[in-house]
Amino acid sequence: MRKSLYVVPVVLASALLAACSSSTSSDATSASASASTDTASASASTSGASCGTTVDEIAAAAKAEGNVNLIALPDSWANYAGILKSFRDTYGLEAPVATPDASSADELTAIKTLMGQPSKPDAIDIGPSFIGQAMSENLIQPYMTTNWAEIPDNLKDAAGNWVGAYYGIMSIATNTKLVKTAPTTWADLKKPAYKGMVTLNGDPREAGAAFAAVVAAALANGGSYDDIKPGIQYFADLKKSGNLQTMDVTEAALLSGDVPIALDWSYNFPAIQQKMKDAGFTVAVTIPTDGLYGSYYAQSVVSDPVHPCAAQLWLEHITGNEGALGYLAGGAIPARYAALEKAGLITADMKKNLPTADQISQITFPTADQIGMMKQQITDNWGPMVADA
Amino acid sequence: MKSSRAMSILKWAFLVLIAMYFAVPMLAMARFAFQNVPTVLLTSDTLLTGWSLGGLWSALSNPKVVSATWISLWIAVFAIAMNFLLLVPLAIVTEVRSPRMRPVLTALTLVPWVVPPVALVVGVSATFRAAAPWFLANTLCLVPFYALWAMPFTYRVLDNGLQAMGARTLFEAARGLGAPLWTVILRVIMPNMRAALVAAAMLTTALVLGEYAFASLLLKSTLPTQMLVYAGGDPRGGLALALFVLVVTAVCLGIVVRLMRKRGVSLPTTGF
Amino acid sequence: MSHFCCQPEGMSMRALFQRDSRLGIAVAAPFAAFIALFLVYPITVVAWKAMTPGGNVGFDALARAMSGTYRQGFINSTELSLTSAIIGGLVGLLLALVVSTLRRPRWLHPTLESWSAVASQLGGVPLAFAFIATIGTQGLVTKALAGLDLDLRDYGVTVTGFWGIVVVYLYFQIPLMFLVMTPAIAGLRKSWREAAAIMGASPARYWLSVGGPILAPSVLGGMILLFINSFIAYATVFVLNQGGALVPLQIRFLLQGNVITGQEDLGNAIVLWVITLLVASLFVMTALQRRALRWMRS
Repeated sequence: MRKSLYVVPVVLASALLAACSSSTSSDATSASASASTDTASASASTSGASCGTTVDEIAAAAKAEGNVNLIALPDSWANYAGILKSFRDTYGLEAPVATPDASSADELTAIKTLMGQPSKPDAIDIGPSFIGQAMSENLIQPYMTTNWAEIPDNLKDAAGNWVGAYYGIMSIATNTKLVKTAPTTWADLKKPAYKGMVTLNGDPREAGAAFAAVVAAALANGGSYDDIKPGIQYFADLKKSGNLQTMDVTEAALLSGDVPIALDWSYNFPAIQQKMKDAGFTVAVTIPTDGLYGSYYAQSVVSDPVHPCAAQLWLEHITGNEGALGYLAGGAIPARYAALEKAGLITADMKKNLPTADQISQITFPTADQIGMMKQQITDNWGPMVADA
Repeated sequence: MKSSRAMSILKWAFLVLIAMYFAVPMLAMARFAFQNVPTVLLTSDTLLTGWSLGGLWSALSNPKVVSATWISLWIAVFAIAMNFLLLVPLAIVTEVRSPRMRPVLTALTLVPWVVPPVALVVGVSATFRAAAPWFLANTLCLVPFYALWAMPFTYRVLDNGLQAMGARTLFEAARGLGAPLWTVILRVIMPNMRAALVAAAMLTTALVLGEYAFASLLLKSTLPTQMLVYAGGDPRGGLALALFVLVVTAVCLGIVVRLMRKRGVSLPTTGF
Repeated sequence: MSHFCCQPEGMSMRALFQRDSRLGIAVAAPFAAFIALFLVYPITVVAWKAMTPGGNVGFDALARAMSGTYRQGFINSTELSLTSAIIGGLVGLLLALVVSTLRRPRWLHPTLESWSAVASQLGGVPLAFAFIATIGTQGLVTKALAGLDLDLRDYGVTVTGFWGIVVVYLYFQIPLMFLVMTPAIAGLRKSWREAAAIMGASPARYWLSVGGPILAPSVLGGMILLFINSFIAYATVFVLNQGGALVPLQIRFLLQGNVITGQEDLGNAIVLWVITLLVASLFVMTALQRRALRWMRS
């Protein structure tokens, strides 16, 4: 009798709560969904106007907001260290970067998880394979920077939902102290000499860099932007032969020597060359000749941002001259490269970290539909073929 | 005689092997963390070169790490307080008045063990995030959940402590002598529970300093999650910080074990 | 012993009973409400959502959670947990047995108990770092073995692979088993050993007929505890192999929403399976514990 006294109220209370929650959560989600579309459309019509028409006006509005929440911008990624420093020095905002090593999927999760919280990211930087998801889930809102006209069409969304401020080429980076002969092609990586050495920067289902590596491998093995199954098969073979290891490419792993061969963007290595030298290593970066894939990353203002004007300021900064020169120093090609060259702002010395002009000319970006299809192929096949094998 | 000698040698060899298995990773970590030598050159030749605590100081002075540490400590304090508020009266009442409730309560406090952090976070996301997002906005929202996972061993430690001191006899004796209820609890029972209370507090702190899954999946910045983020940018400092936290946790738990042994109380292994 | 131990002068039995049950409820109600709100409520919602995929009651989501890549995840997790539970269990048992037979030095037993209490709680991120420093590509043990011309990779032991993770998990599995077995072994009375010897039983026969069966419930219970401990471990394997096909990592993956639309309930379904597994284990462990206590009390 005594025992049931305790059990009954617990069960009743939980049942009541569960019943209430299923109705309230559906109400809550539908209410918030309609609310977010309202604010999205409202802010879309007023996004540019509410903060200012020149960078100075936007900067003043941003200063009034006080800060901007950034996410997933590692220091050594396309010289974000330098770009963040110039942003912080010029505009006086603290601009903290949460979880620098987070993947594109982590960024979208952060927006959803931190909805309604003051630490929600204001602007994101994601791989193109996540743009579709970001738009369909209403996680980003359009914003056209003041220099929109100078950005090539293939590096921006027509409706202003995103801009690709920089792009680069997928490359193979080798720790030449640990690996005697560096691989130069995708076919090379299959050699047994590289057992346990080849590393992807994340999971292709979650990270844009790993996704790009699969696409590049597909191009090298008879695939195309319409079918990247050969790329998935390639990595399945690499895993089977033991060449692929499952650690992530992070700065820590590179510096400790746990990643002898990294598959990552060419602009991720100039920044750590010195640190690698201090650690006793040297890094050789090659762009594989049999499969060349270049891509951009998409930056957007997050929908319903905590600091809307500061988010716009951040986009202005990275597409503006200072940001572009920062990316250049890191070895990435900025979106407004042509405009900067015309203005005479690019010296020969600044191009030293870039891929060769010939390699850059070979870059073609896939269409949004092709990206969607490639993402579907990876979502369906990467698990069964590679991750679980 | 000979066989027992051989057995003795075998036993000690086994113990030495086990000791090496437990010591080597810590030593390796110490070398990686505190030797200012490139990892490639960390061999037996460089055993004594470049030892410095620089990595640890830079980690401990990093503002994000400091704030994450403070948050973790506050979470521990609040979780301990919450657990004591909920469980101490319950444990005392059970021991003194209703011993038949003991198996029921032991079972009830074991329920959180059945829902590990990695599972509960799915539930919390599905419910609290939709129904009360303001709750999850604060990092202190972790407090009730950490209190939950501390419950299994907290209750057992408190119960063991009460049994070891003979709480029932003490209670009846004090009441028989005419002491009012509050005096009995505050001046007779609680002082004797000091060891159990400290032990439970230390175990909860160890839990809070080590719990990663729940905090990271709710995107909270606690010491364990911040440790990993910091290690991404400064590998040597990150390792130093990790070793430091490990040592602190070990010291806390060492205190627990000594206290418990002094009082003749056995250490609870959850579920058993 | 009377349930109502001491009656203060002047209070009737009825009044005492009323005060007692009010006291009981006053003490237990906050506790019950706490567990209801923070534990039962989220899990009930998860269970409900797992069993009503897409709004209709059905076991579709539960079935999908056990097929394809998630089935592989459960298989991998089970293999990993079984391996680390059995190896950890045997080594822990051996350690407890060896230590129980050694009288000298006096500090051995208490020191090992302290160390086990500490080490069984260690884990997570620092432990993963420690083993990367030990058996990783640049690990000290890897380098030492390379000096002896032994490459761990040839034996399939990489810090991010199956056996590497088993080795890492053993770090807290062995002490946990030691903690479980030490009281059980202490419960083996010396008099039983002597009685068996008097009756002419060899040590092997003693262990087979007396010691073994008495310890068996504790050993089994301990191994189940180790199994569960390994199954739900998240932080260590997250650092070593983030994209691996293990249940905790797949839960995280699903929480991120990385699924094809229409499969959002998979996360809830997997959690329900995991909780079912844990509840079943708890029942078995409790039954085994009662069995083991029978001998310890006698």
